[in-house]
Amino acid sequence: MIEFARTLAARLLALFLRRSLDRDLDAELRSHLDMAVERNLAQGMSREQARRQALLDFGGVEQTRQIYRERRGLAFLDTLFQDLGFAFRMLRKSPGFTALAILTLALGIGANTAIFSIVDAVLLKPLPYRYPERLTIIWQSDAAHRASGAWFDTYREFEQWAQYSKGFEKLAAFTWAHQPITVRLQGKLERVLGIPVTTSFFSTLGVKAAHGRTFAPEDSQNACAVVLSDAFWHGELGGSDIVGRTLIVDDKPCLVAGIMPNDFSFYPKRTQLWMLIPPQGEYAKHPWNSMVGVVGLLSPGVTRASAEAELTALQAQVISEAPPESVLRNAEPVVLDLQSEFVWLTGRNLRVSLILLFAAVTFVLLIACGNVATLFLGRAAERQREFGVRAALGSSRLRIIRQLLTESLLLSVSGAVLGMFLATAGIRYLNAANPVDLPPGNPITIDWQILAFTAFLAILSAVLFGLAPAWKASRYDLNAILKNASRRSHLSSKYFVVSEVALSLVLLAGAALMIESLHRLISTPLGFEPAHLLAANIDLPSKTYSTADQRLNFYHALKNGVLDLPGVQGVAFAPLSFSGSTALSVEGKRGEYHGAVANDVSEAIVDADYFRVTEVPLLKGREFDVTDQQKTLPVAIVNEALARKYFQGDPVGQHIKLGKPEDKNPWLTVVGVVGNVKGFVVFKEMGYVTDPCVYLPLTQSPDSRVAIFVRSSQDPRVLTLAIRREFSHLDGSLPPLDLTTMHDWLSQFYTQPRLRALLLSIFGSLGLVLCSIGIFGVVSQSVAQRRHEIGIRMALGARQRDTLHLVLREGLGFVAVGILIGAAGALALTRAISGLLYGVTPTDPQTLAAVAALLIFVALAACYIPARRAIRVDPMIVLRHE
Amino acid sequence: MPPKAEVLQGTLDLLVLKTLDTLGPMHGFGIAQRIQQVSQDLLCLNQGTLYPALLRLEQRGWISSKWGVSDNNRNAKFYSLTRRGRKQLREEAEGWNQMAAVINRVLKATS
Repeated sequence: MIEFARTLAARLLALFLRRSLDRDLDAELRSHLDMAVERNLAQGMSREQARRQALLDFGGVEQTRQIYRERRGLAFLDTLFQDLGFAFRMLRKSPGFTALAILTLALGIGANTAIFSIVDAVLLKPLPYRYPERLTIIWQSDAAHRASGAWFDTYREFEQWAQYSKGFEKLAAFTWAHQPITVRLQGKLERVLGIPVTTSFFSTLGVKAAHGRTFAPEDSQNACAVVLSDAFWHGELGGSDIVGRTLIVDDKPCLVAGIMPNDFSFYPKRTQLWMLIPPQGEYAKHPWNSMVGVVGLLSPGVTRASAEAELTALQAQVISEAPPESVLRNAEPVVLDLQSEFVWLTGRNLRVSLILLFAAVTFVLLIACGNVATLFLGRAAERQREFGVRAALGSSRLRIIRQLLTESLLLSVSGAVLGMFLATAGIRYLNAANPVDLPPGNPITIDWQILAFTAFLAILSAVLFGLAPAWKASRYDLNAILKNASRRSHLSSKYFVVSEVALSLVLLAGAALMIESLHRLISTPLGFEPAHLLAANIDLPSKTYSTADQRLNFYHALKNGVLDLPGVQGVAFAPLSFSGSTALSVEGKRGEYHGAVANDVSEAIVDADYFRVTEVPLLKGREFDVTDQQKTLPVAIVNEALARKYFQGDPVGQHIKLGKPEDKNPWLTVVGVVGNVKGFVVFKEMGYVTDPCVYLPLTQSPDSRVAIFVRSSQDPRVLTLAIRREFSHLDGSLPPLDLTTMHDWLSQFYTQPRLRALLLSIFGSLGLVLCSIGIFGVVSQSVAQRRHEIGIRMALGARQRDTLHLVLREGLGFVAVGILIGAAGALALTRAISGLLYGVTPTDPQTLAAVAALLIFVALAACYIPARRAIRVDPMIVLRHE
Repeated sequence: MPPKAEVLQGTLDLLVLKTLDTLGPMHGFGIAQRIQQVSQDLLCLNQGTLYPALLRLEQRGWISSKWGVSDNNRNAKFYSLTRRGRKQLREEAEGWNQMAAVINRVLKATS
């Protein structure tokens, strides 16, 4: 072993010292021969004879040199350098071919690397916490939502679990179901994304602060403690020295315990600070009304299923204490893998989308390889004479294959290097511009795993596009080639083009389905008019706005102030979004009650102008008006969906109640029916819901959390500043209004479908372009090879049109085969993405037909240029040339 | 003159090692001379093959080389046995003797 290592080291060294070692050997051999000549002279030979005898005894100086050199260095490396040098010269000789091939591969490999780095960070790499494989998240769920959970847990349940559970090493609660919090920065009030967590939150994840510390038991003595995110500290606080000092959070001085490292993140990813839920605070005082999520570190060896059973049993022990109105459901805890849940929380279809995109870029790479393979085959045909000559000179078949594979490897490695640059640029853009939300956890980077993946792609593609041409090129009929005969059929390049067409069709079908879904999703009427509409959430603090009159007066003053602004057509108050979660009771005709069928009714508190301002049509009865006051009859307006579900006839004048009949809520008289408004749901990305909805007048339920809607006559964005001024003019202590146009607000729900459609269209177009280059290349080669035949046909009287048909028929023939195969593939594969579609079926025949037509059109164009060349063949020239 | 025997595959190393052991540091030509002398010209040594063999032995660390000046004032590369080389020689000589003995016995048994 030592000898082997020594030998290898010596040989490697020799590679670099080749020249000086050569000189050394020459000197040694010369000295040997000189001594031999001298001896021979001493034995009485003539000078001539002495020299001859010395060489004879030595037996072949040149061979010795050769053997010596081979033994000295690494023969295979020597050959490799030779091959590489030759490959480099060959590729430089045809720069067009080389550039096209490298660019094609760079696009394929670059796209693959970029998408893979996302897939790797989001789906494959474990979360960057201490024991990622044991971290879980716990929600409440019913049978329909086992996979993702449906509701928050209550703080009481968390307390019970944290105290008694043995299946978990640690449990921590966190929540985003609470009032938004504000921070006073340089005297100004700012709304921040703060997440209340329990003391054990950071230790459950097993993460440490970068500065200071995370929460510790002694913090429960403080009135308030926070840990900051690195981004918030650097951005809003300018990286100032704040650990151990106080920050005014929600008008209370808060101890800044520490700052998390730059690469730490948890859901929601943009969290700016974490606030402590003290063990004896508000949450503990109202444990059944405090909604929390729970993250748990499983004890080693405990499965999620057994932990779930334990938590269910513990929950059952305390559920009877729950006040009747707080726990209405037959909920059971679900224990879910933290990483999968992060992905789900970030995008309902994110996992499928990533896999889909990865499949798409793999298709692009395959098409690229097919393309380069056809280019290679074409060149191999041109180079047959070269191979023939080399073979005649004694080159083995393996040696020729090796030479060609070296060329393909050189190409694919160049492509991979360029692709790496493309991928890096793409990822830098992704990290800087954030075109789409990605789950918390691992940052998207190019690390050694990604590099290894790219290297693997380079080698794989070199084999994919290099082996077949190399194999084919090395199978020659020596005589035929040297005689310059035989130039028949490009069967294998046709196989490549057929597969390119098939792959492109699948890609394009996927892209078309995405575009069609996005289009239908966006163009679906929502039941109101989103154009020229601005909205912003208002959250009146309970301290300064404790009475209904105070709140109503504020809304009233705000409305009048904004209405006075030029360009404002209407102002209304309503929640920005609402979804169904309460039960409904209907007073029956003979005094009987229809109990709640399901907890699917949503309630929305709106003011009298809401329906007019948002243009929700009134179908029956009346809108709310000034007669609906706190002392008058409680009224409600219902939507069409509710009317249809809970009433056979006209609901106007009927009585309904939110909750069960025995609940204390008042009976409401239905005064009107309005059209349905489509809403977005938590559990589904592609689609809308129209929950049965009960609208209550703001005057009768003066909520402190509403949203203001402003309808303008022109671009609503010009009003933003004036509305904000009006708002802070009314009350300077409130955080500024965060106004968005309704279009912007809606478009957040379309971000992922839009990006998906965009990326797939890019990849689809890339596939189409590559495919058309492939078709063009193969038909061109075929025309070039059939020049002679075409010339003869024309000499025998074939018309130009016949020739054109001949070429087009050949080209379109294999395109048609590709389309048929691709259509079968598309029908089989697009079923997997049905969750990403809206309004179209995965096997939509129109989409498939349109895509096939597009491909045929492109193929026709690609065939047409070589076909034109074919009809310009002059039979006289061709025949004379022969 | 009897036909000369070819140097058996693998025995050249042993011959070189033994020669260096006897003569001390020696150049290639000297080694070739010595092998031919000792074998009384019965071995046909293609002198050229000596050099790849020397390289091989050096790569394995059994001999080392140094440029020096020969008896008759010529620059020449001198090879000498290393400690590991001496050990190797002992082992190889032993192995050869055993093998020779075995082959002898086999030949006697069949005759």
